[in-house]
Amino acid sequence: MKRLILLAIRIYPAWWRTRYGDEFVGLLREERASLNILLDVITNALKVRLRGLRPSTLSGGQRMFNGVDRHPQLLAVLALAVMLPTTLLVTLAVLKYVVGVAGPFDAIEPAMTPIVTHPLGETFLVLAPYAALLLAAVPVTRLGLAWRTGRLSATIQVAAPALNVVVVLTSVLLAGFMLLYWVAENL
Amino acid sequence: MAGAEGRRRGSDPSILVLISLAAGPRHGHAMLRDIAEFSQSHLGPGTLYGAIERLEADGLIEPLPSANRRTPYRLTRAGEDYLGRRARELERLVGVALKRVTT
Repeated sequence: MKRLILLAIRIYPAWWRTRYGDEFVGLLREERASLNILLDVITNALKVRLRGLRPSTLSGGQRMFNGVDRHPQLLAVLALAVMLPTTLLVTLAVLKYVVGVAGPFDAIEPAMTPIVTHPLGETFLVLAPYAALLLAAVPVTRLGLAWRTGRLSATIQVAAPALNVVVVLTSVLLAGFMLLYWVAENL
Repeated sequence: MAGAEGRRRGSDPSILVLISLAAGPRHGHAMLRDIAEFSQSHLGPGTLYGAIERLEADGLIEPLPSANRRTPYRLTRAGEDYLGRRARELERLVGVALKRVTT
């Protein structure tokens, strides 16, 4: 039973285990194991998780968002991978048409042309920055809506590692560029 | 703080923790024993740490340096003020209740 109770600590969010895990384990080791304690630990872990869905009431940034539990940096790396083809294409296009260095773009053009001209390939290249933006921003952003004294208040909280910030800024730039490209090609 | 008071109003574990810490700093195990003794309430460790987390977040208690996986907590000044206000409020309510049931 004690092993089960200690296992149940994993239900708590990572930030909670980082802050209280060690002393909580210490306390659980001192307490007599029982089904009541197991249920108490599970219930309270779920409560903490539910509270994590609401905007934090803490000041001074004592608590990281539950986004930390969602491995934001891993998702930022995934976002980088998703927008890599678009980034490459846009960078080389800018090099050729803005800076005047045509070599790299001309080198990949034969390989890229079938992808860019295929509807699926084009859709992927245009939408990839938006997908990357969501992958990098959603895990580190918490939106809150509350109805207080007859007024609706909305809050946005962001706790983003540097990598996520870089990916978000890059994806916004790329998304803007690809939107202009799409408008120029289709309208 | 007004919002935090509103949230805590019906939350007994938090009040029990504050009352326990009013006697001096205590770690989790000592709090559970003390609370069981003065209130006959047997809080679970999860409930206790739920209360500790909220009270710490609201600045009513604060941790002291840990040793051997035991972290003592103590009331902050805001915690003492809050407990005093709640105690006086409860005293007033108990007074009203006693008057009404004995008349």
